[in-house]
Amino acid sequence: MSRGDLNISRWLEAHSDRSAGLTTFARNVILADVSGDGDYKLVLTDVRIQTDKRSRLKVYKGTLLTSDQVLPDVPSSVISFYTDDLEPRVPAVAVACSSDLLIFKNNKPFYKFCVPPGPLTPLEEECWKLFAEPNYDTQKLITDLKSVNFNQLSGRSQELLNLQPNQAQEYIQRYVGITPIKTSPIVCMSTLNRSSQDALAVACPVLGTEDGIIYVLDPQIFTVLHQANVCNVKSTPTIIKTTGMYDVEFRIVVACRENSICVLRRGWLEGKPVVQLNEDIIDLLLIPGDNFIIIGTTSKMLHCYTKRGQRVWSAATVNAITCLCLVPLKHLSTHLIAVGLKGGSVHLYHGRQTVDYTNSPDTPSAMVFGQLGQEEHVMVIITMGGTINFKILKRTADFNLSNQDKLSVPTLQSKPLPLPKRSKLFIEQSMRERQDPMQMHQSFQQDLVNLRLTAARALVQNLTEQSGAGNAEEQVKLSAQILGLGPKFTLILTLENMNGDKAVSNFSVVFHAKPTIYKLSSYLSTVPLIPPGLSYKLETKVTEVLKSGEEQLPGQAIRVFVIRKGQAHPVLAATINMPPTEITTLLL
Amino acid sequence: MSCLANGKENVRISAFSSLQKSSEMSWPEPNPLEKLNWLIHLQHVRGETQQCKELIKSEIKKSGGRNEFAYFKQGMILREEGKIQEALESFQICMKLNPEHADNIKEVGKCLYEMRRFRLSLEAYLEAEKVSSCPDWQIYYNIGQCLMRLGEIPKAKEYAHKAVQIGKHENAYSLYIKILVAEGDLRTAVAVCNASIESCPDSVNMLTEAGILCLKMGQTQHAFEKLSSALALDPACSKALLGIGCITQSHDEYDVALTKYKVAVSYEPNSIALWNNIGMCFHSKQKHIAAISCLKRALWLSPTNWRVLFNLGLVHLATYQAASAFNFLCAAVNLRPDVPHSFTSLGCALFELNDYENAGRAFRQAQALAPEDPLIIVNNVLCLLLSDRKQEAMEMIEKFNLVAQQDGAVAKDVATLAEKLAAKLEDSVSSENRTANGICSEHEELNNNGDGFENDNMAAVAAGGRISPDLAQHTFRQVFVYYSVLDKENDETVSCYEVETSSIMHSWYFKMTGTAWPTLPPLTSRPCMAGLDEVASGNLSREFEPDEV
Repeated sequence: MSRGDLNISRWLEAHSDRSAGLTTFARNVILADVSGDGDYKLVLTDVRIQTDKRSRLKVYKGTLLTSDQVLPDVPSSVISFYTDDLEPRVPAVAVACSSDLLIFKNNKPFYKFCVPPGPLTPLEEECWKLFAEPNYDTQKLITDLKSVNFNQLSGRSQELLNLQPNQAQEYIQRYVGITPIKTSPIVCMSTLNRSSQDALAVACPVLGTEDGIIYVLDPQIFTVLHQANVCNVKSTPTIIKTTGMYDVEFRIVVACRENSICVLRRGWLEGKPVVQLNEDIIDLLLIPGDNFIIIGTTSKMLHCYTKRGQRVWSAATVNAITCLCLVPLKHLSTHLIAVGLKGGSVHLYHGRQTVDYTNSPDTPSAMVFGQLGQEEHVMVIITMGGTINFKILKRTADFNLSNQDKLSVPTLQSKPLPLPKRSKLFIEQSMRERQDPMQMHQSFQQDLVNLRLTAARALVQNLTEQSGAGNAEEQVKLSAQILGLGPKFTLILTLENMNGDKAVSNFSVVFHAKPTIYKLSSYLSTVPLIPPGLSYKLETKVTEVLKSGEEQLPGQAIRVFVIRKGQAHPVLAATINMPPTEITTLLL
Repeated sequence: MSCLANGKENVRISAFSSLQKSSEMSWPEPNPLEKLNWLIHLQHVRGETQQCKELIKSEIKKSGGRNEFAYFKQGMILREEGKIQEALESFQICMKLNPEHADNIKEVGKCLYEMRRFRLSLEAYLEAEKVSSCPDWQIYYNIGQCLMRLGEIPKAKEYAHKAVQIGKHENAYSLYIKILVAEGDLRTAVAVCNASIESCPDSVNMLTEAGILCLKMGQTQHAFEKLSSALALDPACSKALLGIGCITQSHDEYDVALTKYKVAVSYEPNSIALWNNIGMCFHSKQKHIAAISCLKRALWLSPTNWRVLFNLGLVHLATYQAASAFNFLCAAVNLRPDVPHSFTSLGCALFELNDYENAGRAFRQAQALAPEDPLIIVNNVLCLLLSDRKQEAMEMIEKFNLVAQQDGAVAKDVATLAEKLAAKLEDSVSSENRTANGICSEHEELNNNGDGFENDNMAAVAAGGRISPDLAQHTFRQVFVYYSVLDKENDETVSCYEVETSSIMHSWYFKMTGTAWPTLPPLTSRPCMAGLDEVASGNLSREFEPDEV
């Protein structure tokens, strides 16, 4: 497949309605011949989770909405199945709403199945019995109920515990005398053919509930045919797919919220985990025929496992996956996997290879492929933005499946290595080195030794002088001022505490001066506590010792150290260069 | 169908709903709180985080803060967003709501692990282990990881083993293998690797891991098979490509190796090992400039990698840039003072720079580190010969013969060179005056061996004086030959260390830089003698220290 082939789309854009405003999730869209006339309709649920709006079950004939029914609760899944072999063949459409399964036939309500209630804790049962008795302490019973693990309570008790105390009495009165039922919502559904693989054969609905139980129902009398746990550890099903026939041998593949895939077979009362993933499962498909399990995960990966849980292949997708859809192509006797990706593209995979892509108006939320009306290959995409999009696969599309193998050759080998070009400077330098490596080496070593010497000298000098022995942590600033012409000077030191929130204390100032030249009024003065942001002034009298007959020195330095009590290293050190005494003024 | 839309249907619906109501008698049984949990999960996995958060908020409000699953998902989302502290709080609410659920405790442990509070995390997982009704490989795996982090390797190994037994999951296997490799038990590690491949046959990581472990153990054939099958599954696996490249490179198929590296480098442009190996491929193909630029790129990525420095030294020796070579080798020696061959090459570089005295020291140091290596002895002999210490040279030759007798696997060219050196030594001892001619003829003979390395100028010098630089050159060449092999072998370790990101190598590097170089100076300007100081006795250093200080 060359790039040119891809440009001509294999899909015809049949219809797109941006104003449909649908909120539909994966596994909530099906194509079914709801009225039994061979004209396949699109059945979907329009979910509203707001409490003031109702969800709806909608039926489209072609692109026209023909039926719109209010649902009592938020639907989690929609299936269609044939309940009997009677002519005309009309399938039932079943919608899972909370813990009820609403079954419609011919767009009319047909039956309501309730999931069998779970076991109540004895304490709760007892409580509700006692509520019925007059003069019983309601508050005590509510406290009793609170002691039960919240998840094990029935919906009725859960709501009771959330009520204000003054409302509780009235609430209890509504239900007095009726034993509470602990129901579990249906979270996913599928169908399982009963005794024939035919597309129009009778099939059993398969339900998965929040507390991890799988029910297989009888399609005619709606009783539980088989009941099993998803897994031996707590696992909540999210997606169910089936293969095989109920009466012969079947496999129910369940994807769990705990990121495992469990398989349930005929006669088993407990599923067996076959795959454990590290990332969340978004969608799951079963490829009919070889029974491969295709999983789309949150890490932008598409994995393929055998029915025993061995990984066959993995493929990375370009974008985050939102939904998967099986595209069976009978005339090519193959199955493609349509992968809805974030951003609004649909990629078609044949095995691990992408064979085609098509676009959707925005991120697909649910996809379905199959017969719609009289047209055999229609893909319906409902996007997150609520757009409904119909695409028809061209009959000429063969996806070039026959020459697949050529695609997988990596094309990277032909690329040259990204090496920089040899620069002229580099060549020149290496030629120079080649000509006289010895001299170069020697001068290098010499310079290096020189450098070290200079560094060492600088260090020694620094160490001996102690000037600049500043301490960044202390944040103390020292400034000096010399007043006078000599031989008597006044040295004013200003010690400023730069720290904004900490006072400095325990400081003292030490003066170093040659006693033969200068006499100081004090050589050591202690500094009182300096509050943050303030400064302290220190005055010292300096007298230059003048010796007649000797040559006047041009002025000497006095070194000042600010030290902290109990610390050997000075906090600050500075050298003050004293001005020479003006002899002339002295003479005056 | 049209009849359905004409309004009759609506009547039916109301009938339907009223029917439902009448069956319940005025007050319907309230719905369980968890009825929208499926939607929370779906929105989360599809990446609709915003909507999911809103839904969670409303569900938590509706349930009066008692919806365990909503808190659980909230924690998940928060953790994905990197708000680990908040996620932890969310999971702790879950734990309070349902203390018997191991998953909640596991998530708390995971959060603590991500916050690097391994001790607390370990405690959480141990608690989860207690609560969990049946053995869970994930808990064991995570306990193992925490123990690893806490440095309790034997216990970690125990748990990793448990996890492997129960879960047979790739992650558990890789943890177990990591521990085994850290303990140096390569044989068991390979066995575990093979077992993991049996349980997950298409795992590229495991196949690569197995291949690299086999390479480490020297089972090239097995390694090649494993790495090839890894590449068959994922032609872009750069780790496997590196391994395959190493094997082909060590079989002197440089072009094949280069094509492998080319693919690998386009996926992993910042791999030190890849650039180092590419450089050595070019070096083997006599493309020195390309080799230098590749190696310099590797050095730029990791300035303290002694292998890269060492290779750069070799390449510079090959291009007669002894001064540069000296600097690189010096840096290499400083980083790893325990590698004898770095000293040998350093000796060669000094030799080239006519610094026989220091070259001799370097050779002696090399010999002290590896007293049995014939190559080092031969180089030492050459050095002694040229610095006119014939007596010591004779001793060395004897030693060489002893070593050569002991293990017969002395490389052929090393042996012939040693023979020639021995002959020359005797020759020069007996009649020193005729040395020049002898060397000259010797030189021609060597030239006939033909490796295109000797140049004619050098030969002319050799003919004139007592030095025989081309002979020396030949010795370097020996070093090169030997080294390009060694380098490849080491590269596997480079790649392994890259791959594992195990703390061992890293901490080692840290230590090196931490103790030897408090303030990392530019590597190339580090003089050799500083390096020798650190290893050899203190006497050496004196003359190089500035006296003035």
